[in-house]
Amino acid sequence: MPVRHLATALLVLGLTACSAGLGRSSDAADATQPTELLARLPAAKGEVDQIVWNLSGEPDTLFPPNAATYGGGQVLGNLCDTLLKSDADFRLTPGLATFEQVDPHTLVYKVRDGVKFWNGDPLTAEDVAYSMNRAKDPSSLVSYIYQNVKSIKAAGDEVTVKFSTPDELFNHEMASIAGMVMQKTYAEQAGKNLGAPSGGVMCSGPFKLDSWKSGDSITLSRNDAYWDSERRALAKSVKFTFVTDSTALTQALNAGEIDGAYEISPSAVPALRSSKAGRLVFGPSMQTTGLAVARPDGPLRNVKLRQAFQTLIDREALAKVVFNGAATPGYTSLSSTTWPNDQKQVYQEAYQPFVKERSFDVAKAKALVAESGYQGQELVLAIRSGDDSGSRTAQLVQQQAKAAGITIKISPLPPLAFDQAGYDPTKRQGLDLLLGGSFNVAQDPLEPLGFTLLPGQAYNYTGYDNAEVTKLLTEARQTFDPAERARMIVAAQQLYEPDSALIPLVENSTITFLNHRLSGAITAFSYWTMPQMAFVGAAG
Amino acid sequence: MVKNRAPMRTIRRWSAKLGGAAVTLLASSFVVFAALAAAPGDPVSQLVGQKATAAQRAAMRAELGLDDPLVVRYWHWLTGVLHGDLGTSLTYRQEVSALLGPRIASTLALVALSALITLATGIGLGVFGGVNSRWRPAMNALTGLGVAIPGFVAAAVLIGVFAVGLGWFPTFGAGSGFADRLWHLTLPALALSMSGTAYIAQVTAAAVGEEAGRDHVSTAVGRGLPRSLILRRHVVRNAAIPVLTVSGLMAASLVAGAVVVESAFAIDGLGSLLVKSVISKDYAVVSAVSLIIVTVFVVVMTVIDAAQAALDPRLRERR
Repeated sequence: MPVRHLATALLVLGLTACSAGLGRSSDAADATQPTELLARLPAAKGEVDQIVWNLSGEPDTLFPPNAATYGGGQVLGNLCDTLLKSDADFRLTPGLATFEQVDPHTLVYKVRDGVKFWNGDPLTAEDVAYSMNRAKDPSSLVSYIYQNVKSIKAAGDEVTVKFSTPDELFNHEMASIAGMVMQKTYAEQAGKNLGAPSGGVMCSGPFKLDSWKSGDSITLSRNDAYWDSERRALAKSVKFTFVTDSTALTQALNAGEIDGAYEISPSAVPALRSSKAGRLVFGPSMQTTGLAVARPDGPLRNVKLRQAFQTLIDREALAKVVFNGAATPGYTSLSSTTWPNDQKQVYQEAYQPFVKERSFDVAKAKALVAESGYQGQELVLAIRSGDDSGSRTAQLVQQQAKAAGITIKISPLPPLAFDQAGYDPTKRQGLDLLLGGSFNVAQDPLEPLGFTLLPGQAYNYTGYDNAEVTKLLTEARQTFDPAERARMIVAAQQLYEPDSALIPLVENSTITFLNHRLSGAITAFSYWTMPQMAFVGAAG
Repeated sequence: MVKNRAPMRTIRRWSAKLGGAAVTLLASSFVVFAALAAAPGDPVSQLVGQKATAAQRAAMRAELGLDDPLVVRYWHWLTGVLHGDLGTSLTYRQEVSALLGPRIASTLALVALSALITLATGIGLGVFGGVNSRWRPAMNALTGLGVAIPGFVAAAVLIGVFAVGLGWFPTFGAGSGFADRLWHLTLPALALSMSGTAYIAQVTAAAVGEEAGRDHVSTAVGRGLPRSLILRRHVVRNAAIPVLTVSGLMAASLVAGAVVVESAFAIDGLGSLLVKSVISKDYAVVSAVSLIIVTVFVVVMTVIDAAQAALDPRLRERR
């Protein structure tokens, strides 16, 4: 999930992107007014019978550790509670359990009393340990979160997690699908069908899974016995539809047949901004778009040339023209949305100089290109085919690079081939840049950094190896004091950023549409780790 | 003596037809399988996630048998299919048959409705245009336009006018229950059948026009036979052979055309499943859907053959 290449994160959106190709650049004119990011809409006033909400693609599974798609994670957020719970601003509080870091190697969760699964059975520490061990299994998509975990054992109402190496990040991830709890006996009985349309899941969340009609819809109904009084659902039922075509979705939203949707394609923004049926909201998100230098050799091994890319791109224009305002410029590989709430200032101060140094300046870029000794070689920029925003971003980069004297060839790769290039160096041969993105789940800068900057990691494409950075990041992950950790990460950032192995472009916003009859929706990317449908109710 | 040999000939002809059909299915399924294998990209990347280690990827490849040679994998799939097991989807991790069930119903309903519209309107218009030569130019202009409009354009216009503008029909989905389904599928079926209808109308009009000008028809007219009888027995019956061939092909191609229309109307049928599965290299699903599409073509062609033989005794005698 973190640093998933935009590609994978958007796997289910492949078709959306495909058919969203009707976006016109002339629409950019209406996108110029500044939009303030909104994390949630005003609280709902009352109950509603049914909400029809579109997922950007049908989930492939509702087995929590593998439900890493936009749709899968979103649906499960309403069904299964997590050990920690996140609010719209990513603040974490105890969820199904309170926790105590007994020592750097030991984390103890005390399971909340009085929580019941939908079938009335009480939640036990056994269920928690079972769910965590399923997530830890190497076959799970979130097993990397458990990489430093030695053992998970239940005793009484406590679950003890032992670490081989101390890991501050682990607990932060327990508000995501990696920390979701399902009933053990149900899971064992369902066997291979667990999480499939025929098997379902048994959890304790504010909604129950009623039916999953493969290819058609998923229907949830309210859990009237829900334990968390703050998060009782306002809707009696929610029907999730799977419209992947951007035009079809826009029409259904405008006609009021679908009440709301997340992850709307930026190219649909002009058509929905003026909608009479509902409102379009841009919210804070931990998703980013950037150019990754794809290999340690080739013309881009020259650091001056990489630095030239930092200033030759007009990020403001990119956010307006390509993303229709649903993005803000990003100047470091760490996105500002991943800065922990309480340490924002430390990060902000470190960030400012990069904004200044990397702001759009063609003359400066030209000078850097001249210094680099670049001879006009063609640089190959790989993009995921069918991704409309990606292809338009690449075209803009291509034009601006040309202005600075750099020749770029855009090479669209089939989705699976692009994904494979993400982790397989042999598939990156001949490619100089990959247009991708990352998407953090926890508000923790260490989530992405470990994969891109430490030697030998699959996403360290340039073979970056700086002993000081490695030391700082490794120690930061073992540091439980957030202020101290922030200082270490900022110190590492000062060292690795000038290397420019990643050219950040924009911080994407979460695009949400909601019908006027409803309110209360979470409009930040935190919706993905929350029972987001529980808050949606009548507007008046 | 001659009469006794007829059944033998029929059996031989049909077994040759069935054998041919089997070979077609076998060859096309292998081509689909091999083409998918040759496409770039590793299907495992989406199953284990981008964060997986090389060992996890290797384990998953081994578990799914993706490292086996193409022929071995095809053989596994083929023997499975012959035993009634269509395999398991890589992406959905479900039995392919469970995925196909609900989607076949949507696609079948859409195609059946479209075929009905295509045949009824196309042949009706064509006969009318073929007989009434005064209306021919107008009809030619209309059908020319119809043939030229691609399904996705028709879909966009229909949705814009009748779903969003007038609000008479829903903008997406396949509906459930007979009436609701019909309501949901009307616009998609119209979009899907438009070019086929126009084409069949053109072919019918041409065939009917040609037959109507033949000597035996003039003779029949001269003999003072009733106009409706001449039309039925001497014109339409003879004109039916080319029309039948084209209609059959059109009906079969509706299944393929459904891919585009299903995506425009967000109907999760076989077509959209096929597109998704090709992108994710989901062998079992792609093979199964292709098998269905090819089977439809083969069955339709066989039926056309039989129907032609029934309409035209000369075809029977010659074989």
